[in-house]
Amino acid sequence: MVFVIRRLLQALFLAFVMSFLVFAGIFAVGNPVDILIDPDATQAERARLIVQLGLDRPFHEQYFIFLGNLLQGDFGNSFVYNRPALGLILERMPATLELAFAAIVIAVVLGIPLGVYAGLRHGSPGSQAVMAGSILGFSVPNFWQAIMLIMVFSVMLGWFPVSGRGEVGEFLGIRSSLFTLNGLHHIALPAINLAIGHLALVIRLARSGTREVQAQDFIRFARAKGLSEPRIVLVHLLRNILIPIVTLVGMSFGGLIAFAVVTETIFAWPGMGKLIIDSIRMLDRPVVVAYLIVIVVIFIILNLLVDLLYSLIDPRIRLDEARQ
Amino acid sequence: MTRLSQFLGATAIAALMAGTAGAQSITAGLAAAPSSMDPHFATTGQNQQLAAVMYDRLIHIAPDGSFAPGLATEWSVSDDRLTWTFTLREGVTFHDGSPFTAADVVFTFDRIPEVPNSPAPFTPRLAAIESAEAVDDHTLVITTSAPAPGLPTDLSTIYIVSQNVGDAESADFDRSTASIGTGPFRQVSYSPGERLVLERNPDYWGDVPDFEQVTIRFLETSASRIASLQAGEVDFVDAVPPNDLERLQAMDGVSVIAAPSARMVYMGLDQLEDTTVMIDPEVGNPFRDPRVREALSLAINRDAIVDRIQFGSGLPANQFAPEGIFGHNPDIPAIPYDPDRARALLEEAGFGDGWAMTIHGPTGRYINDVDVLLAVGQMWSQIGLDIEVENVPTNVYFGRATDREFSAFMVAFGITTGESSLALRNVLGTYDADRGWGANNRFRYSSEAFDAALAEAFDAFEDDAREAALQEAARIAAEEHALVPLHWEGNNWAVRGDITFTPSPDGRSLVTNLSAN
Repeated sequence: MVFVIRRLLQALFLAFVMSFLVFAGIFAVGNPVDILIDPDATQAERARLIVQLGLDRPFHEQYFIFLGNLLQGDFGNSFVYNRPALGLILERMPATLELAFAAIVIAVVLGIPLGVYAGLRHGSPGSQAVMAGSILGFSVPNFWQAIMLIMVFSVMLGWFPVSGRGEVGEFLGIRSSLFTLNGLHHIALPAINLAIGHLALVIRLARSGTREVQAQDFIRFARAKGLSEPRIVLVHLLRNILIPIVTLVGMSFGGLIAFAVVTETIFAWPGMGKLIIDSIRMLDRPVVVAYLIVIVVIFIILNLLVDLLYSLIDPRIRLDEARQ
Repeated sequence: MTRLSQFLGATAIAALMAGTAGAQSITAGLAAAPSSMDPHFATTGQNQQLAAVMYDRLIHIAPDGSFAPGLATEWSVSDDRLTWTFTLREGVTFHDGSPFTAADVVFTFDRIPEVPNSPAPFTPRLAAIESAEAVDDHTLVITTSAPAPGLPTDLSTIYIVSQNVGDAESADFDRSTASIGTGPFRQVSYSPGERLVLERNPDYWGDVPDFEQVTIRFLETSASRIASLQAGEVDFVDAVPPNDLERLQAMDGVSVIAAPSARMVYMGLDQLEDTTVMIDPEVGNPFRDPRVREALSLAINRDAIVDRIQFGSGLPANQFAPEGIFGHNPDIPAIPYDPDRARALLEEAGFGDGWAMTIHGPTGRYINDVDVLLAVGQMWSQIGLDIEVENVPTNVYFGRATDREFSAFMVAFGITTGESSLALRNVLGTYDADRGWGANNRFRYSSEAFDAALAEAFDAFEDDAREAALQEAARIAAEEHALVPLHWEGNNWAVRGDITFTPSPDGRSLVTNLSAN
């Protein structure tokens, strides 16, 4: 419990530091007025807009106003949309979460078996093919890969829609496009595009873990005891290679949520990534700051979950140790 | 359709078929998503091109730039030019079935100042109006505090909503609960950044659209817009990059529609003081000499920019208003490409040895802007200048340009009101905050003759006098080489199947301009 509370306090501090850095960073980039304003406007209208957005005040004043509002749970209104920044982000979050979730599922479900296979059959042609594929997987640029996926599977073969999110269904009170056939049909390509790089990493981790664990005494004892090969692999080996994979998946998930920008833009996926890239372009400071704070919080929660999972997977690990 | 897709759920097939279901419903892929569905929130192009198909205006602008009746069938102004009387169209109903009356217009005028925190509000367009009164259901009287010849232009951009909208907020328009207009289409649903579904308004007083339903999808990346068209998921796309034109033209069942826009890209040359930031003070500020500005203009090979960099999309420019925009001056000659004469002019002005400077432009704001700036740099190098080219990210660029950190820089101004007065006032009028002139005059061109001609245009009540004054102002600016015009950007659209798109002079991607063959 102490551990969890301490972690949450850390999160608060981090979010605070983050807000300052981002606020200062965007302030330094420049004044959004020149991008926001109607080119037909006069100087008086320009001056009015500057006052309206609070940009006439010095930096420290702007920051303290922002902090004061933040303490009351108000992230400020978007300059572009004139709507609460946090609301804009939360509205787009489900689309991003489901995309990241689908990608992580693909990466784990395909990656672990392929990696374990490559580790067990080290040197075989199949294993070499898997490893070569994984190198390709994380070297191909995401942007190009997305366009190739669209060209081949949507334009040439016509199997999947080019872009967009499908119908949204409801299941157990959660609204997601993962619950409809049409939705799954739409999410397939973007999820695969997002998954490929992480799939490659999972394969490599599972393979090296398998090779390392395979040589250890307890596996040999299990063999000597006459346990079946599936049981050795699925129970004894798998459990012992999971720790680094869980870490990777946890961090990847955060990364997928925060940086799905390229995939979301190309597939016209209405998630947070598209929102944030537009906001950076328009210097929509409240949205950018709120977004990064949300991402910091997500990362910290994921970190915490990963640490808690460690102790479940490997009882030798105690949280007190993880805390250092 | 391939074999595999037949196995996919019926919904998926329906989605694939949506594009080929004939004249009943079509899908459009537009590059720019709106910031709000509230027609009074922002004057930005992407908001207006959607508002314009759902909400009607009192006055329309005809393709030739003249005023045409909209919700107002006729209008007149009193002898003292302060009182305008509008006769409103009878028998028009809103999307909710209620009749359109003068009270709705008054309501709209009252609502616009109440829309909070807009980054680009409509209020300046109502600034001339002192009061508006509904005399009876179909007569509206507007009083202005001073003669306002620009009123019809202003009113041609004001979208009339029903008084039943009440005190609805902008968000209620996003939820489609407050979207009550009289336009050719009715808003069915909207999901931000994703799609907007429109349904035809069969009771529209003008031409009823050919399509029962239009779904607009917001596809920001050009690659996915084009791929969606190729795969048949959308029937219409806008902002086709010039680089893709040839490929699309060669495709079966796809046609490309190209039209020059009223957005002129130009190089601004800082003319304020005897020195300028990017040029060694020893050299001074060559741009104050009109001969130098002329030389820099003659050094530009505009045909090459349009043909090679823009793949034939757009037109070489010589003034803000292209043909078809009110204020276009047909007597201004095309600017020749004449590097020899340019060198001679530099020599004459005492800058025969040239000078060194960095020129600036944005990245990704205009079509192929980086390549255009590079070409300009090379063309100027050829007449003996030592040019460095710097491209600045768009979100930083405009702030720096306004702070006057550049000496020679690329900007564009798009005419959205069908006439050239705002372009001339904001870009070329002498910078004067109190008067509200020259807000975009970042290079501080200043000419008494030009200001006088333009002021005349703002005061002129008769169209002919107004046009003559605008043309005169354009002539003076061209003669004094106020700036270096480059080109009018091209607008390109593509449709598939038996659909036609007719571009309008404002260059907007209006789905009302789509028709079935």
